[in-house]
Amino acid sequence: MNMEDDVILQIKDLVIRFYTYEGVVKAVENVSMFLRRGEILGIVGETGCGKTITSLSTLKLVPHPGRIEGGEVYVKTDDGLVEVTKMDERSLEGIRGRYISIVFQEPGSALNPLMRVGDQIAESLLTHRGSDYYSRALKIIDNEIKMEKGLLKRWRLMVERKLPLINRVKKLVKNEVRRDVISLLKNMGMPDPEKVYDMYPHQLSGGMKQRIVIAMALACNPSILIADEPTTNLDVTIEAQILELIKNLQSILNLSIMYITHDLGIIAELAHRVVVMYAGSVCEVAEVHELFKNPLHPYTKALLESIPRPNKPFKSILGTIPNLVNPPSGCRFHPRCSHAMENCRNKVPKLMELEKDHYVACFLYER
Amino acid sequence: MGSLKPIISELKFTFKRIRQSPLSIAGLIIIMFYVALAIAAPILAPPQPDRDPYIIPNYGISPIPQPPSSQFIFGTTEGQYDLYYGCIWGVRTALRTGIMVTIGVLIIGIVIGCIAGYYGGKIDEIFMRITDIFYAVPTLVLAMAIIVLFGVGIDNVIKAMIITGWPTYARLMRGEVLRVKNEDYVLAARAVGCSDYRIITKHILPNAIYPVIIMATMNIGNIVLAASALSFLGLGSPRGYADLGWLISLSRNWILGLPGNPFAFWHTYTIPGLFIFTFVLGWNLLGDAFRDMLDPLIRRR
Amino acid sequence: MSVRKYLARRLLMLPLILLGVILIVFTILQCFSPAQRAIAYIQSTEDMLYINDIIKKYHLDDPPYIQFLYWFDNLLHGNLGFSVSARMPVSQAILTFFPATVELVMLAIPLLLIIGTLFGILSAVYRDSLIDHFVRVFSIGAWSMPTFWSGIILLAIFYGGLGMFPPGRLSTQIALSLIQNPIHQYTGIYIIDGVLNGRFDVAWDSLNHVFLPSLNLAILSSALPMRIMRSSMLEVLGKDYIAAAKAKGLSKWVVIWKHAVKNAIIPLITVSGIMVANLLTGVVITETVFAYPGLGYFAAGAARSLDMPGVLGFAIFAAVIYTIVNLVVDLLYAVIDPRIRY
Repeated sequence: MNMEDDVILQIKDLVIRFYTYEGVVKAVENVSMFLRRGEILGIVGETGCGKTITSLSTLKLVPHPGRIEGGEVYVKTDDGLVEVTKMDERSLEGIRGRYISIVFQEPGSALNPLMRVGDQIAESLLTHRGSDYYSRALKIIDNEIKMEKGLLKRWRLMVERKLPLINRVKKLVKNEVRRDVISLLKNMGMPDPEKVYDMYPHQLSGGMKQRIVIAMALACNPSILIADEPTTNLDVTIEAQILELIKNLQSILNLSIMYITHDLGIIAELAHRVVVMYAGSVCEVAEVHELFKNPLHPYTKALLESIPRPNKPFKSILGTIPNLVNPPSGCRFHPRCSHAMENCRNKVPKLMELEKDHYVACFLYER
Repeated sequence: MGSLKPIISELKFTFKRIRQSPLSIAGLIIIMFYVALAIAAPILAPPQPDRDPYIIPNYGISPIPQPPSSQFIFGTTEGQYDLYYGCIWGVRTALRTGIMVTIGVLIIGIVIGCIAGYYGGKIDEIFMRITDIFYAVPTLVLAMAIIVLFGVGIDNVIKAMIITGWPTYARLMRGEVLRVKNEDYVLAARAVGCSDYRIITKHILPNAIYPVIIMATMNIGNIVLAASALSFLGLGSPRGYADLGWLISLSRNWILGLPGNPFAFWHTYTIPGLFIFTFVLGWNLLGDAFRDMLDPLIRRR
Repeated sequence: MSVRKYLARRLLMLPLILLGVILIVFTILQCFSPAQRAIAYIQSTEDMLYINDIIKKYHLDDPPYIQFLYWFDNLLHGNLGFSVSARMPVSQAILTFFPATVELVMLAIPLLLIIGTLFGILSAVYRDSLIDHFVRVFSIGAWSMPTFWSGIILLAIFYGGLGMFPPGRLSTQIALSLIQNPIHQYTGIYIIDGVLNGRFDVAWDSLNHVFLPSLNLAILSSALPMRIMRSSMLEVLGKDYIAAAKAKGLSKWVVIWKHAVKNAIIPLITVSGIMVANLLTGVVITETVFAYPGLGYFAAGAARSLDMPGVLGFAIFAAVIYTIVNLVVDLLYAVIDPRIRY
């Protein structure tokens, strides 16, 4: 699999179906996209267009009754290129949280209500760096043993060191992790991180909870962050803060971010490149300024036109999102498209590079 | 009261789900079988003339139960009572008990629950405290106490179970009334000046009553179970009455069988027990399926 | 509100509810004439001659409010009347029969909790698998099975067919030996007392007898925790924080035990009140079937003999136990769920 040097995540021809009581939902149909190192890729689309499921598939977290039926997902890790779609659970556990992290939409629901928030971030650290912490704690005890002159005390320390489940090692590890979590929280702009560590989710506001979730996601320094509408359920002012935070983190840590949203305003402000999805397929991919200046796909055009503007009549896209158990034949947008042609009903348009770095899937542009 | 189309389509979906779940179909079949059995009892096991049909005829005085034979399909139990007759009419008794308790519990529960929920305030407080007190004693124990008070017999079993059962439905009704009370159409009716009675009967009741009725119907299985337990303990029907619990209590002396054949009297406990078990199972299967279907989370998986 | 205020409020409710039960019992008793009520205190047929004295002694024909004070006073002193069926004062009967029931229940509760929760969890984790189907069928079957019927079938198979696990509490042999050489009763529970006295044959015999009724109770009562645990786990497993935990890279079983089970157990605590009520009911029936001389056996015998004081005594006792359990449950809630504490 040949990937360009700066591409860090690649999705090829992904097919995902849901086997429900009412039939098979063809949620994602031949979706392809890639993410470059250090860029923010925005994924835009209406609710139900498959953007969330696509992102979940990068970690093989598609929920039951969904199944990945085709296509591949490739991720560049420190150990080289891995094909996520073919990995088993154990290896996936090594990738999740470590190379790719997800921030979910509802800030509160991603946190276990019965656990202190600090412990939940610590959990992430311990899962992937547990052995590091453990060996560090052992080294500290070893040092103490060396420095200790009294024989009795030395013996006691050595016994404590040998026994694997001993309190002391665990306590040292806990303290170390706690320190790291608190400094992480400070970097997230969390006021009073010492206190916040011991709080429970229901004691925190929406914005603080989202910071916790972001901290949890970034704890192990992943290269890829998937943000699934992280600000949708927050107040506008808090939203602005979180967006600011994400922008800062991205530049400081050189994160590659897949930012999912239905809000074009956030896309304009945050993203470098944009993927437009509709009803489970990709319509258009372009660099953000190019997309806004020169939208090619009829759906993209309609989306941009439907953004409310003062002194202009309200324009919406006619029709509704199709039922994905029986999606429209051919191009899924054709029933609502003002430029629909005979071809659109029969064949599915392929994603083609029309101009430099500007891809469209529409028969209007097919030669 | 609003458009009917969504209600109809939901009902259609409900029936489709019923058809799709084999367990609920099984439950439905079992229940229909037993209801048919109960109705057809006079034909299946003709009662003796000039006698209360619920009294099981006995043919002899020997205490030793006789195994199934051509004369007695299920054999006889201690005292030579015809087990077949007893089981058939026993099912009828069980169904009758279940229905009467359900009706009684619903009437009392709905009325009290409505009043408590609608008027709120002090009345509601008193209601809640009273139900708390009822809840403090396990239902069977309370029923036992009531029966000892009023006397033994199947009618008192029914009364006792109504007395111990109404708080649950009253509370459920109250909850539903509270939920519906704040809906817009109720506020509109009050704004127009409808009397309390009218609001309750025409607006609140029809919308609040379904969960209560459904829960009560689903509970018939447990009612029969409890009633048969009371009969087993000797607090229900008198000797000779067609009651499945009583029939099983007779079999206690015969569990050991005969020397060399420990299961000689298997029919005395297996057969009536199977009747009760499958009867309750049928109700619970259907009740479970109903509950699963009404739960919006599981409805559309 | 803080834990202390919450506890205080619950503690206050306890005596109020009990008072309510007692009031109702008293009101019911008022339906009887003084003579009828006097019978409750009669110990033998000769006492019938002195019935008027008994009426005077217990103030049974005084105005109700005065009566209640005396009756309540008697209650607090443990005078619940005389039980004809047990041929001893009711309070003494309760104390005598109580340990046997404790022995029965102390074996049944861990059994039913472990079976119930374990299978409930497994059934949710391995959804739609063989285990799941087995659990669903089993829990409905156990829920529909009459306790007395399963008890009889167990007896017929194990005792009638195989000669194991006889009914009753002790075999006649051991009972006789205990009359000749009584052991010191620390708890009244033969399994424990037997071991503490070094009489392992007594402990083993008691275990032998209590096993089948415990099994009966446990298997039937495990249906409720099984179903609740299953549906609760299914709901929790669908929550976002489970997906987030998986996304952190935690292994499947760590997610299940550390995150899912802790959250899923909360509804189980809600129904533990109902479970205790079911246990009390099941105890009455099971002890009758197995002729096991515990409180349930006493209560059933009292009911059958129309022994009003006995039944009422049992009812009040059951109410006390139930209310205490509910209080403990509420405490547990506060301990486990931080949302209630803060």
